Amino acid sequence: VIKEQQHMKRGFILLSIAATASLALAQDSFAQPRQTSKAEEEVRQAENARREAILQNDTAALDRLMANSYMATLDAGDVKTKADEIALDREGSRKIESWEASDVVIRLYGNTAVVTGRAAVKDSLRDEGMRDFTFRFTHVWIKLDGRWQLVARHISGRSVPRSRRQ
Amino acid sequence: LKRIIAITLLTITTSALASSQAKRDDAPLRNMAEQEIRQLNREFDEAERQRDFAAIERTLADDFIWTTFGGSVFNRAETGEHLRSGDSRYELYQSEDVRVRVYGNTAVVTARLLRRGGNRKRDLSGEFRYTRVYVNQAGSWRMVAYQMTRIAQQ
Repeated sequence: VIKEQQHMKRGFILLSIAATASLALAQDSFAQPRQTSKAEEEVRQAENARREAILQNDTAALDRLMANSYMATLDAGDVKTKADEIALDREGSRKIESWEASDVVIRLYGNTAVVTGRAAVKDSLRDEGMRDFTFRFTHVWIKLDGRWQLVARHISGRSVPRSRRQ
Repeated sequence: LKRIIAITLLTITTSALASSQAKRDDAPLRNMAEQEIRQLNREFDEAERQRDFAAIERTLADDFIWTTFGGSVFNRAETGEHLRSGDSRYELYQSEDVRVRVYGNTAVVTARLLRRGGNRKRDLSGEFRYTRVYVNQAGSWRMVAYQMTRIAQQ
């Protein structure tokens, strides 16, 4: 019995070492250029998925893309949590017709991605009619539980919305 | 076979225990990082107030990007140049309602900024909201992104 226990102990130690080594290797390889471009592609896909979700007003998709700790700072200085944003989208008081990004730069730091760019948006508000405006944004994505999640969004420098009905 | 099953079960149990332990053990590290970030963030505000450009530049990562409330974008070199060439003086440059979220090697800081002062041409006083992103690079926290928004007057 003692011998068997010793075998088990040895086996367990070896397994633990192997598991730790493979985890360490997996973490290291994330920082390699080949993996970095893969990560950049994943972030680009996450950005596209968010854009699609906004255009389709897909609150379930937005829910998946935003981390629970998500926080947005908008152009008038108002701060929105994940629950605030999803509730607003559910209300359906705003319909986004187009959301086009330009001058997009993705910076990767391991499991973090900082995306900066300019967005040109056309939308319609129930009370204000159709608008056409641009702004600068910073998006912070973190890979949590194996998928990229948006933890922060900040916008500023919004051009004065032009009503296309005027 | 018994031995293999026993080893597998033991490994799974130990991994699960280690994982939950790791999650619990994260908390003190996160708290420590949060305190470091809060301190660094205060020092950054103070450096802005004192026009200590060397201290500001030390905090900024090489690929730092700053987006102003007006929508202009500056990289690290342009930020340094912009600060040095200007004559802005602030008697107050203070963050309030500071919230720090730490995710491993990254910290996201959101806060309200109270600023009083300006330059020869105009008054730059006001209340702002900002997002600053810090990343731990080779053991030191560096700011990689900073975006500001002016709070609209009610």
